[in-house]
Amino acid sequence: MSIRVLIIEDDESTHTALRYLFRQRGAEVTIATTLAEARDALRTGMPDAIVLDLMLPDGNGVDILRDLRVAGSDVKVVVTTGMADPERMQSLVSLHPHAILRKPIDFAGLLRTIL
Amino acid sequence: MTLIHCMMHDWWWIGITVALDVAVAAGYILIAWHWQINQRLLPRGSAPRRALGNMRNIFVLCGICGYLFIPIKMVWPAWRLYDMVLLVLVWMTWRYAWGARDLKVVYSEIGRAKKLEADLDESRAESKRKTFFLNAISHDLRTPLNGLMLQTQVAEMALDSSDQAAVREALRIVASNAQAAGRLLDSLLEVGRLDLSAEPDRLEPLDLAEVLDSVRQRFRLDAEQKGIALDVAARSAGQIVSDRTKVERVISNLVQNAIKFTERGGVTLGASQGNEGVTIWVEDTGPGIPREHHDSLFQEFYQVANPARDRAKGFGLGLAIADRLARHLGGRIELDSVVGRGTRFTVHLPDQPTRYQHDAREVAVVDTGAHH
Repeated sequence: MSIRVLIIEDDESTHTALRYLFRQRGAEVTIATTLAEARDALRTGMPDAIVLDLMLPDGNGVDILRDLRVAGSDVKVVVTTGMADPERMQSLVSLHPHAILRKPIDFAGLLRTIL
Repeated sequence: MTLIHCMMHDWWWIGITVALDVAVAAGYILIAWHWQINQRLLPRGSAPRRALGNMRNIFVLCGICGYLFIPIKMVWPAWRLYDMVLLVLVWMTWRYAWGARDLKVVYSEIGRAKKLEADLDESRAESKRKTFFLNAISHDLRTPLNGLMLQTQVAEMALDSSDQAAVREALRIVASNAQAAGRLLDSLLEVGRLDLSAEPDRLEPLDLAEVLDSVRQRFRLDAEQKGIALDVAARSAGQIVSDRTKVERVISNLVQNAIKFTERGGVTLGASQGNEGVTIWVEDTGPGIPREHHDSLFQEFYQVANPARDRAKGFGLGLAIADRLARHLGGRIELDSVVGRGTRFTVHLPDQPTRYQHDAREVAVVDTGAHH
């Protein structure tokens, strides 16, 4: 599996685990813990898939998704969130993320939605 | 004799009188017209529609009797015609007065509509607050659980590749996340217990200087580690009768909060006796709290500078708990803050929690209810 994954997530225990698990499967992983870092990472190159958390220290992850859709990108974005019911967040659903996974997520399940 | 003969020599005033009468009559007709339009919006045969119709008629007749007839009478003594109109006016007025009893319903409906509107606003705000509360609990619990879940998968995979160090690190994070989830549950349970008033108060005479010292002792190391000062300013602080554990909890939460957000300078505690009790204050030289946050600051899960809800900064329950406890003890917390200078929380506590007797009775009633 040679894909590039961008993980946008501020919780350390989560992004270190995801990095380990993706790398074990041979994926190339970039971590961004803020919106600013994520924008920088996206400028250097478009990944094959993005794992996106919503509550970030400098804003809401939905903004990244919106920027991507506005720029015409249809990159696979999997939203992972701790919100009680993300399906009711209209601004999120209308941007058509590839999947919305409610935390706690299962890595095998996440992998299936990306591949 | 007509009035005009008396006024013959004062044409100016006759002109002014006639003009004023016509103006007032026109006003009466406008009001009547307004009621005529509005009564059509009301259901046929209903009390308010009848009332508006009556008022319209009264106003038209008053206009005719009181004002149009004055200029008419000046030149033509039309008493009989005038009395006819007056008779109809009497009939209309009494009909309205009689029907006015039914209007009580209308006025109370108008009041009720206003109240419903206010209730709706309040329940909207309440539901917004609940959504925020649920999302915050959900996020703060799911985040450590998510890390925990993924780290167990890391540990499994690391076991397969016999990577001891990775297994150990994953297990360390699992334990730390489980503790974080446990801490949140503790705080939530504490908020819940306050709601139920489950713990009875244990009242005793408290020496505030001693209470402040004991709180200072507890946080001395935390302050030292951050390199900031933690001092008690007023030592002749006075005495009150209250629940020691709860008073200490209020002050501790404020001090913990102050230390958390102060990077330079220090935190000072003090207390003084006033006329109606004591005031205890916790002052820091932290970043200060902008005005717009002051009202929401004591709400559960409200955090000023933690949009990502980083749990190293806590859950946003400390001040909410302190505020509820202070109110439970019959007191209140006030906040005074200048951005860039620091913040001062002031706790006012009564000499004796007078509300306590009342509270205790309420709790007793609830308890009996629960046992049946």
